[in-house]
Amino acid sequence: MAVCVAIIGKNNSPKFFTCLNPDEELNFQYKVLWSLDVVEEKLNAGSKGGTDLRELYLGMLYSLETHKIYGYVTNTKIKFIIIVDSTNMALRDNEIRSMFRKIHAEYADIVCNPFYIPGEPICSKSFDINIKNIMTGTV
Amino acid sequence: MADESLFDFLHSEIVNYTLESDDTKNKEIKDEDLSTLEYIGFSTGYRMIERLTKEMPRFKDELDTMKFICTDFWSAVYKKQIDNLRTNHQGVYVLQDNGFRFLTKTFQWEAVFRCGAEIRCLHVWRYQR
Repeated sequence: MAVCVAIIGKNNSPKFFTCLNPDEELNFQYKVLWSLDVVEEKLNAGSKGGTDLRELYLGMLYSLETHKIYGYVTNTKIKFIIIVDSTNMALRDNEIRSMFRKIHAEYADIVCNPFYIPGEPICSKSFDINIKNIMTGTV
Repeated sequence: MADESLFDFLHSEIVNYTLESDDTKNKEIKDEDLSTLEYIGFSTGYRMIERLTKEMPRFKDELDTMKFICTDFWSAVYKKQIDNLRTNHQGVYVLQDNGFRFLTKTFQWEAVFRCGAEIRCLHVWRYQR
C-alpha cells in the first residue's frame, strides 16, 4: 500500500501530489524532491552504462528506515514517484509496476481532458479519488 | 471509409471558422487567428503523444524519438509513414512527406498555408524538450 504519490512534469515542476496522511505531507514532499536527483542519475547513467534497459519503470530509487521510494519516467519526461511504507507489508516488484501502469493510464486520461491546460498542476477531484484508490489497492 | 472525409471536413471548417470569426477587424488580427490554430494543433498533438507513448519502451536517444515520430505518430495521424528522414547529426532533422494529407485536398492557398502552419507547430512545440 503506497502512502504517497507525486507526479512531476518534464521541467521538474510539480503537477500533482497526494498522500494518505496529511500531517506528513511536508516530509514526503522533501523525500520526493531528493528522489528527483536519483531519477536524473538513473536517466543519465542509462545512456552510458551499456545496460539495455528500455523500460519506463526505474525501480527502487531510495530506501529509508521506514519508507521506500520508487520511480517511473514516461517517454514524455513526466516522472511518477511512489513512496511505500516498508513496515506495512512486502510489496512485490510486480505490484509496484502495476501501480505505475495504472497511474500512467490515469494520467493519460486526465491529460486528454480538453479543460486541462498542458503545463498546469492537475486539480481534478475524480483524478484524486482514482489515485487514492490505486494507492490503497482498491481498484 | 467515411471517417476520413469527416475528419477532412471538420478540419477545413475549423480553419475557416477561426479565420472568419472576426471579419470586421483589420489584417493585424490574422496573427491571433494563426495562434488559435497553432494552439489547437499543439494541444491535440500533446494529448495524442501522451496516449501513444504510453505503451512504448523508453527512447534511448533523439534518433529513437524521431523514428517514433516518423513511423507510429505519422501513421496514427496521416495513416502513412514518412517518406524520407534526413539528419546532419547536429540536431537538424528534415522530414519529407510526399502527399501531405491535409494539403492534397484543399484549393485555396491561404487555407493550405494555415493547415501547414498548424501541423508544423504541432511538432515543433511538442518536441522541445
